[in-house]
Amino acid sequence: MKALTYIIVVVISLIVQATLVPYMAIYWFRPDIPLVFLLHWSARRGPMEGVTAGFLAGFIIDAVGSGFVGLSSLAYVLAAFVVGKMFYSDIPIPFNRWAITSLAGILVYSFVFAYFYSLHSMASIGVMLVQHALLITLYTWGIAMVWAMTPLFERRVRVTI
Amino acid sequence: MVAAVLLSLTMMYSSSYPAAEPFRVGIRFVLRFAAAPLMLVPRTLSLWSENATLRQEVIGLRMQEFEWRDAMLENIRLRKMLDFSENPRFDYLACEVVARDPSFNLSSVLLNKGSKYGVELGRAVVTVNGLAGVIHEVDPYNSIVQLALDRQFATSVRVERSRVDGIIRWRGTDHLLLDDVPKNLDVVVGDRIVTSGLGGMIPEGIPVGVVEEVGSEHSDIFLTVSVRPFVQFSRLEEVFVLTPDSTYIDSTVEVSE
Repeated sequence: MKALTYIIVVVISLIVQATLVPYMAIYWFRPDIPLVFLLHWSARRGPMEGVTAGFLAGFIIDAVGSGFVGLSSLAYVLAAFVVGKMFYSDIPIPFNRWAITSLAGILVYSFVFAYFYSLHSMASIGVMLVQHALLITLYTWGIAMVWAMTPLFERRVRVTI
Repeated sequence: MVAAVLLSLTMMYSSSYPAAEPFRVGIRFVLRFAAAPLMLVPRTLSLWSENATLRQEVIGLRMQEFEWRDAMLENIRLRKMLDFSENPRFDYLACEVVARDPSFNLSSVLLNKGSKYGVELGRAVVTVNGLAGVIHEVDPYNSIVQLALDRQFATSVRVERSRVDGIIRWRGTDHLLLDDVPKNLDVVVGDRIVTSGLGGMIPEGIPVGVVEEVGSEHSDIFLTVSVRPFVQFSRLEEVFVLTPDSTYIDSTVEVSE
């Protein structure tokens, strides 16, 4: 049942990402809403479920785009894995666990895209990181923090080490 | 985790992944209908301002039409006198943008028309402001447009004023880069960039953007020309796919029996 709820949430977020989120663009930066839900899922259910969900969500995203098929899957899988692993590890994480791990996951996602985009374009990895990855990361992380403040964000994730 | 990463990399580095294709077409088909109600919201909100702008534009364009009609007739007469062939004509197939690339960069959009409506691979996609991109993938009911902001987009263009040719590509921001322009050629800030028509799929003269910066610090031979595109890619709602005009007959070509 929970998996079904998650699938519905991710599919709705993908549709929103493909339709309404471009209107939230600041210059050319858009937050990645499905990524926020994916990382939340990974934090709650562990890295393996996060990786599976990330692969499927990425595959759906790549079906709509003109880029590499598999790139979104790869970025989502790695981001979900990092968040899941960090949440369920014994590494002491200061401040707020969701804030730090979601930032790490979004950074991984952005870096994967920046790296592969720079391989096949006129843009260098530096331009991609500074002018794309960093700002998209901050924007998406902001959304993740706002999401954490809503009643829908269940605080059943492990908050202590 | 390792399996998911390997599968992702396999899909990325195989030029096509036929097993996944039916799923991709299915996802696009479903998204087309699921996204339609959501797209109504921003479209309705923008209707009022758009309507006022369009009314103003119509008045201006009607005035220009009278001047251009004379010039066009004169052009046709002169071309016939000089025995030039006519430029091929194109039909404008109106399409709606049903979804935008949800990933990291806005590099493509999904259209509500595909091969059943005459959309073909490589055809130019334009808006009223200029070139948006080219058709990258087609299935019977939908097509994907590779926008000029895609990292692999490249097309042949020309500086409208000085007729300098070059290749335009995405430069990693919301701007484009005019490439392969030698330093001794005439390109200045404010020049309009239009398509050159070389290659045949994208017609000549479609506006692409305006030169915002000309530099030469990165190369001893070539200029670095930064171009701001005319099209607002994040706000694309309706576009036109250029398809060959089936009724067009080149009057200068003689048919021999």
